[in-house]
This record gives sequence, C-alpha cells and structure tokens, in this order.
Amino acid sequence: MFWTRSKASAFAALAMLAVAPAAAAQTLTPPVATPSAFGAGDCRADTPINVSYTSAAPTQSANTIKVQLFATKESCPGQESNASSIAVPSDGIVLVSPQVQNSIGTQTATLHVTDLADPGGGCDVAQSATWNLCFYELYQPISTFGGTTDWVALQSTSTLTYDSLPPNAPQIASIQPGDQQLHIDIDAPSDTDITGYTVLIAPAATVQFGTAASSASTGSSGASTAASSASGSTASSGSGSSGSSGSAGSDSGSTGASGSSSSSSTAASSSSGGSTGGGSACMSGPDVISVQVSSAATSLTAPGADQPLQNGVQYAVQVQASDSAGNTGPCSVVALGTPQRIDDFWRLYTGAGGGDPGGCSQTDGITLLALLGAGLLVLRGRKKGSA
Amino acid sequence: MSRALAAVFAASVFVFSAPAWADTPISGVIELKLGGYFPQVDAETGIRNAIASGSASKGPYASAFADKHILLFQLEYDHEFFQAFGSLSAALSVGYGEVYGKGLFDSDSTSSSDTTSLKVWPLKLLAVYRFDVLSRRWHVPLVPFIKGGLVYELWRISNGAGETASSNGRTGEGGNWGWEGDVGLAFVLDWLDADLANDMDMDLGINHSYFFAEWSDMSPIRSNPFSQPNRIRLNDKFFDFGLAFEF
Repeated sequence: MFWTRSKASAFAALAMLAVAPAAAAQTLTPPVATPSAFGAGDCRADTPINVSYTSAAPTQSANTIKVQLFATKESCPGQESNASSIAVPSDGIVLVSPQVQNSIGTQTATLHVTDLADPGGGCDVAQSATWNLCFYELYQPISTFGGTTDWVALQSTSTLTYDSLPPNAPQIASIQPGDQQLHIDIDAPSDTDITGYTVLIAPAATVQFGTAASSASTGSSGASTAASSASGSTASSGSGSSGSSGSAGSDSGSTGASGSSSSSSTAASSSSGGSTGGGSACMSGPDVISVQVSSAATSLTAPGADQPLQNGVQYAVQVQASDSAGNTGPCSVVALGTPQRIDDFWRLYTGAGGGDPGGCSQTDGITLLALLGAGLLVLRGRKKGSA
Repeated sequence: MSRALAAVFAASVFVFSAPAWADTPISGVIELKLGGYFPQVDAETGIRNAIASGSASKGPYASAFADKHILLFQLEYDHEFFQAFGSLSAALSVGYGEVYGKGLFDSDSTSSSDTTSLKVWPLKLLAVYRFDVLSRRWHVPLVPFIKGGLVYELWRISNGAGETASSNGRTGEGGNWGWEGDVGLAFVLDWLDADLANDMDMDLGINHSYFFAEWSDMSPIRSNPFSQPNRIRLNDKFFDFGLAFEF
C-alpha cells in the first residue's frame, strides 16, 4: 500500500512536471526598417535606411549588456561557445558593432541603399536580393556566488529587400471607349510584386511613331482599334500620326490585331526597339496625360473626371507597371482608343422626357431640419415630463 | 367535424401553453430591415408619353439598370409614448440603397463600359401603431402593426467618372417629399425560447425581439403638403423583412 501511494505520488509529480509550462524563453524584438523594400531609384538617390532596434532587460542579472546589428544575405549566424560577439559573415554590412549598452530601449542605426547594391555594379545592375537584418543582445549573467557565467546571446531577425529589377511591360488587351475617358484592360506582366500602373494618354495626332511603326484599325465608326509600335515615340504637336480610321498596316514581327466592334479594341504589336522587358519607350511631351493607379487591378479607367478627354478624338495609350520596390518598367506598346459620348442614367432620364430639374432646394433642407428639430423638442419635452 | 375539433384543440394548446414573457418597462423599438425596392422612374408621365409615341423604346431605368431592384436597407427608431391597448410610437427612419448599371452609347444606344448608378437615402418621420394586445394578454406571438408619415428621399445619379451626373444644366441629384404607409406583421421571437428572452431582458434590456414582414407604400411623389411638380418618380410598393428589438 505504501509503495503504491509513493508511486502514485511520484507519477503525479512527474505528470505535473510534464504538463507544467516551461519558463518562457526571453525574446528580442526584431529590428524594424521602414519601408523594407528598395529599388534602383532609392539606390541612385542614396536613400538612407533607418533601422530601429530595441534592447531588452535580461531575465538574469548581468554586469554587461552588448548589442550587435548587421545585414547579410546569408542566414543570421548563431553564437559560438561563450563568445562575447557574433562573427559577421563575409558579405555582412555592420550597422552596430558589438557595443556596451548603458540603458535599455530603442535606438536607430542607418545604412544606405547603395550598400545593398552589388559592389562594382552600382545602382544600374539589375539584381534582386533579400537581406537579413541580424540583431543580437549579448550579456554575461552574474552567478549565484557573485562571479560571471558564459555569455548568453539573444537573437532576432527581420528582412530588407533590394530589388532593382523593373517589372516587364504590360500588354494592353483592349481599350473600351468611355465618356471623356477610356477603359483599359491590360495583361499584367508576370512580376509578382506589381503595386500599380502609370497610364499615359496623348492625342494620337500628336504622337510621332517610329519608322517601323504599324497600325491596324477598324473602319467602324469612331472606335478605332488600332495598335502600333512605338519606338522612342515622343509627343510632338503637329508631327506625324498613325492609326487613322480605316488604315491598316503591318511590319515585321507585328502582332497587331484589328477588332471589328465599334466598342472594343484588342491589339498589340511588337516594339521595334528602345525598350526592355518586351515594352516600348514611353510617350512624353506636353500633350501627354499621366495617371498613376495605385492598384494591381488590370482593369483601369483613365484619366478621370479632372482631366476629361475629348469625345470623338483618337488617343494613344501606353501603360507601365511599378513594383513594391518603386521600380518602374518600360511602357507597353501603344494602343489607340476613342472616347465617345455615353448617356448615363440622368442623360437617359432627361432625354426621355423626365421632368425633374435636379438639385436640392434650400426650402427642402429648411423644412427637413424644422421637422427634425420639432421631433427632437417633442421627445425632450416628454422626457422632462416623465422625469 | 373531427378535423375542426382537432384544430380548435391545437389552437388552444398554442395559445394557453405559451410561456409567460417578461413585462418590464418599454421605451422604444429599433428595427433593421431589408427590402427589394423598385423606383417607378419609368412611370413618369413624360416618359410614358415618349414610349407611347415611339420616341423612346424603353424607359431610362429599364435601359440603364435592366429593371434591377434596389436592395434597400433601413434603420428605424420608434419612441413609444403610449402603451395601453396596443402601443403608439413616433419613429425616425434612415435608409440607403443603390443600383448600378451601364450607360448607353449615344450613337447607337448599345451598352457601354461606363458605369452609372442611382443611390437613394429615404428619411422618414412616421407614426406607428402596434397591436400587441394579442401577445401581451393571450400570448399569441403575432403583432400586427401599421405605420404612416412623411418621407424625404434624397437621391443621386452618378456618371461614368463616378461624379454626379449632369445634363443640359440639370444636376442629377435632389430630394423628394412624399407620404408613406405600411402594414406589417411581426412574429414574437421570445415565443421560441422564453428563458433566453428573459435573459436578454435582464442582461441587455431587450424586452422583446421580433421577426417581421412589412408591406410599404413609399410614395415620395404623391401629392402632399410639400409636393413639388415634375419630380423623378421614386415611389414603389414593396415588401421588406427585418428584425425588431423592443427595449
């Protein structure tokens, strides 16, 4: 019986040990770089990257606390036995050398985007790399007998991305006419970090196309579905034009397709040079409207109410993609579209004999407010009465 | 005969075996409801005449929105000021609904990629009578009610750029005054679980909760003291359904 009880107690004790939560290991807050992705533009501007790091009070008493912070494309190394610092990898960029901390808290270190670009290549070398930010806190606990024990290292990690690879050029799948605007459907480039697009629109008559340019358009009323290559195109008023209604053409390598509907456009042609990633040089000039779209959605409407296009006028359109590192890729080949007058519900209503003059009258507002005020007074009066 | 007796017996059990509900002081009701609202825009006289004369094949609402209904959400607060043989309340209600469609090419009236929309905000000041005598005295879990009052319905039409539409100097927004009349029937949810209903009363102050169906005649264009001529017809007769909480 005694043995049985002892065994039971021992098992209970073991079970309690088994289920008792282990003492939580001390954690270190990861270093923070905001933003955490940088591109070639940041490199050229030599943008400083501020990295904040936060030291923590050790759970054991310690005489000395050190912190160390560096960036490396390799994995963050661990602590060697009883080492009071961490060996920095060969590609490491030191932000904070092992230094003694006089106080616990948050501090900031700085590195430059140029440090992340491949040495020798500079900012113009296309590269993409993820850097680990390795942060360590090292301390030597005081033993029970007053001496010190082995160095202990706490570690935390976060990442930085340097990406100087611009996204490829999108393709314009179709352009649908809108009222003083155009609806542009694009085939997005395969890059996974597209964050937005820039839409460039200029009157087609002002766009000078290259010698290898082609156009393919429908003869339908008003809705040109032309596309042409743009090689180093510029917008220059009064210069050559392309894509006029009813014309058709081709060039070597062109994949232009002509539509047949007055409201659709599906055409694209190959660029004749001056581009990367399968795109073309972008239109520029005083007649070019540039619209930023901060979304990776592939159905775009441009340019918007504040820059209305002229209905019945043919416009050349290009689209270029931007990525999370701020890189902007080449423009798509030019596609053409013509905005048209479209009757919204209100135009349909007024056009069909609807008699409402529209607009809110002041009398309406005053009457509404008076009624609401009277209602509130009645409620308030009743509450007072009941009180 | 035997069927009639069985029915009477079932009704007796239904009425007299119903649980007793809490009867704490009540000050108001909050209603949340949804309904399929179809503004009768195309029934305006001028538009009907245009269709009849052949100058238009369809009305503007049918053309732009393909006769889609608006899902109208409404929130109503009833302040009960009389409770004896039924309850009488003054109610304020706000609602919101929208419908989207496509504009038509001016050249050939075919559908375009431009989106156009109609958004409405009906605001109401109503008197409400709830005949809750059946549920309070005899525990029949049904409360018929009627409502009536003033409606001011704000509306806005947007064009393809998302802006307020305009045409020939007329702006596609406004507000219409009118009348509203409703009848409805509420089912007392307390009847399903009296204990839970009592807990809701004690913990949340909700005396009774209801599921209701309501038939509304919302007529912001009908002749009334504030009526204005030549307004877009936003009136409709429709059902809505919702939940009500009496507290």
